[in-house]
Amino acid sequence: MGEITKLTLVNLVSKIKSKEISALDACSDYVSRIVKSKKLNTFVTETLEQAISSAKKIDDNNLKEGILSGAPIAVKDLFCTINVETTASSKILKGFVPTYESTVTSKLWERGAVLLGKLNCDEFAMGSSNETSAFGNVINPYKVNDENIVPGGSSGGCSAAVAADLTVATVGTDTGGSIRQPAAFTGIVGLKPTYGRCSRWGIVAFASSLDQAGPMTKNVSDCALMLDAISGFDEKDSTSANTKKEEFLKNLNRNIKGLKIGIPKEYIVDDMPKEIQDLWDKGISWMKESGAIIKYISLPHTKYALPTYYIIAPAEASSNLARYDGVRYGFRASGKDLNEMYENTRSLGFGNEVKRRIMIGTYVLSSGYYDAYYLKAQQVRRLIKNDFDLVFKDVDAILTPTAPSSAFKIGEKKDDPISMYLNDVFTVPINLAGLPAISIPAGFDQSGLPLGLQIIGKPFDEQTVLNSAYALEEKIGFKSQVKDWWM
Amino acid sequence: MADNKFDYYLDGKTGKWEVIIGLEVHAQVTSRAKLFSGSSTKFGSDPNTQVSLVDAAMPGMLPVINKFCIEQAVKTGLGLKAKINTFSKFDRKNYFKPIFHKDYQISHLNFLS
Repeated sequence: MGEITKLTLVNLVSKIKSKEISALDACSDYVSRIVKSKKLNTFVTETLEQAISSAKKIDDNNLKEGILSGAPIAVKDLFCTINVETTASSKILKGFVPTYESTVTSKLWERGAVLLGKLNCDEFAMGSSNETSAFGNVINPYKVNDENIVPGGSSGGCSAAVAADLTVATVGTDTGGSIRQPAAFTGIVGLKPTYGRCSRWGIVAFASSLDQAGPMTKNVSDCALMLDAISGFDEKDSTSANTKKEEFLKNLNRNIKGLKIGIPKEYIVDDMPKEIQDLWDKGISWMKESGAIIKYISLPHTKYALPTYYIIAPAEASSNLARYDGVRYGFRASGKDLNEMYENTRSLGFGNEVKRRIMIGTYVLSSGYYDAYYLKAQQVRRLIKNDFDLVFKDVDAILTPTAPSSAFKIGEKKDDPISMYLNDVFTVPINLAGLPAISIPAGFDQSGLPLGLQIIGKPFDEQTVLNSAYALEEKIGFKSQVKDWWM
Repeated sequence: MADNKFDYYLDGKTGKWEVIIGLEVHAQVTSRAKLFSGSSTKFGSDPNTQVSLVDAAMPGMLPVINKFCIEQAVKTGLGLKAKINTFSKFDRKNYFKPIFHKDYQISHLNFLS
């Protein structure tokens, strides 16, 4: 045991296809690691027996055609999975077993992947540290001295599981940085595709105009393969883009000679650790060494992105989460009449961060405040998008750090929502503008925690984002420093 | 007032009141499927046999507008010699009510994009 789970997705699938490794052996190795890794609290629901029997079926019937053939994959518990409990890490959905499968996950299984289980996340994807989950915080496989560190959020179970080799790859969702920031905090690759690239059908909604599913993987090639697997038009999602089918892995190459890379001056923020500035500078040098042309650019409305996000996202959330009323599914508290049942269910079923955002959202949408907050925020959002449209006339991609800090200690920011929100300062503008962006592991800070660099692309130009990341990945030569201390 | 020309004003205690009457006409579209889901609209069917996952507001479900209903609306507009908007958007009207599963109505509030 141990060697198979170190393989990348691309290598594992190719070895399963060539019968060098059986799907069952691959699955069994992951299962035994998962069983020994409970301490990290990455899984909310495990489907290990089901996974073993699916893997056997792949071997027995020689089902090796799919591009993910035999790949053991756990997914964020925000994707609805047929006959498997789906909770969004919230008490209010406890016991909810969907009769349907999300488009993104159904694509995984159609292409030969095997479900290992559902991964922990912040409750309804609201959080940056995975501490708002009703099932407890996830622990980062990286440790500082003897202290436990957050894995980032909201896709913290995903990031920790990939970093700890508990899934060969995964899919998360990103509303304000929920794929990229946890990827940076755990030394893995995470891509938020262009809004509309992957179907939102069957994903528990947080903020519908910002939510986007995307891959979280060990490296850039795996990321391209996963994007090949999960992207595409879906008539069941009216915001799904009907673009031509691309082949991201096939077209992946390191030739970025002459590519124009923008460096936005507004992303130099107060109190950013020197080591992150240094890493960014190194990223610029690596880009230059690869033949890219560096251009210094301005995105003047960047400073309004966080306040805009914290109006729009809670507004949409307050509306999307209204359906959790205890009537049809999940948790229900009793009450003497219908209204009291609604109130008790929602008071006891939602955690504090979710309640905070529902209250903010309801306030900014209420009559009398709608124009001053929500409508104004929509207008500022357009200005932020215009900033990107303008600079993308001069550059092909943008390079920034992924987050203004490395992963922090569990509990460090839990009682300080503003400081928690500030961690998303570099990722939130990209969701507001609907753009694709990747985080790749680029080095370590002084205490040995991983740091990420973010590459932002034009709408539907994931190929340039992936190619730039692929070129940078070779220059960086990042090596995981995860020690199996929890086993 | 049979012989008098009605001037659209009524005398009230505090002064004249202008009378303006608007009509909100609800007419059923002759569509076989619902406006935002593929469920049947067949009259007289058994309870709960024409409810889709979208109608029941299951987590992660998304509404998709019925193209046929849009065509009917455009035809009705043309028939009434009304102006047809080539841009349209929907807004949500949020409130908790036992008859709403999503706890909001899909409606039109304004046309700012």
